[in-house]
Amino acid sequence: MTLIAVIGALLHTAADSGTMLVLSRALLGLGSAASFMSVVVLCSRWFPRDRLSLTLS
Amino acid sequence: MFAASQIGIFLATTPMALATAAIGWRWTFVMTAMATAVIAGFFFWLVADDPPGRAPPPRAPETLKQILLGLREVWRTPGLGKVLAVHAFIYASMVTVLGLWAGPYLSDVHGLDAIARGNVLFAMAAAQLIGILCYGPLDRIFNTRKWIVIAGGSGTLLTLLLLAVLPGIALVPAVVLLVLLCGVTSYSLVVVAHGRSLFPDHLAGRGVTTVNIAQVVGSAFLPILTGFIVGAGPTDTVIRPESAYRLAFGTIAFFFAVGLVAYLTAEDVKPRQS
Repeated sequence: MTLIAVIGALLHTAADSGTMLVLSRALLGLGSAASFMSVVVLCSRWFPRDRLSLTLS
Repeated sequence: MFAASQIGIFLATTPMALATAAIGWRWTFVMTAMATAVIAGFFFWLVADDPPGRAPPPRAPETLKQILLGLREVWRTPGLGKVLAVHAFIYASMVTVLGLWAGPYLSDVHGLDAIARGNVLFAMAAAQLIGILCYGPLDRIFNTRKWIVIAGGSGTLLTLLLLAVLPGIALVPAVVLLVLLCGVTSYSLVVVAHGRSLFPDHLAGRGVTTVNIAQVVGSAFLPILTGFIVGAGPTDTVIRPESAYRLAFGTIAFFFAVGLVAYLTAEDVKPRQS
């Protein structure tokens, strides 16, 4: 998912229209959001449940 | 993790402005894309799905039907609605002020120039980062998540209401309230931990993303709504009146209060028992 964000950022650099700008930023958001949430899930796997808030902070 | 993610927010302020001025925004984005790709590579190489010394639990690939059934199970989880209600408006309340209205408010009402506004916004972002780090250990110290959120939420509500109801508030108390708002409204991570504790392990991914959807919805809803409110003022002047901003702060406070009241009846999940 992070690579989708990278592709979005690279397309963003080449945007020559409003539509392409919006689509590239949508890809950027899609990849970033999904990779961020994946790390939240990884934290819940790696660390004891009672330390989840501490890990997330 | 949330605090580390704020590094990107800080880099997107003055450093990004400097980079854009030096090499242009297109090359700035090329650099960020390359940095992100390198980090993704290291992440793929170094980070495992499970901690060392623990065998990975069986995770059979799911069909689309099983995925959708799992989502239905997530939405039927008892207590989820109350967590979603408050989560929709915590980050949204803070970021609608920090990211949208604090700058125009400080300019229109208090006459601050761009540099002074930037300093206040920086202080607000720094307060948020400090707040995130402070909230992290609190649930284990007090063995409650619900009451951490309610205590923090009371602080959020108080600061928003003071910004809304005090007419002609001077610059210094206004800045103190804005910084306090960001510092005290940093307990989203406690709600995420509360939400995660509601789901069995096999639904963890779908569960926490469902919880986060509420935050995304709220973060879209409040800026749009307050945009209508502030924009509804007189159009014959470029400076918006203080009353428009106070109404916007009051509206944010109202929706936040609705979410917080819904959460009041949620069942607490004590960290030492979860």
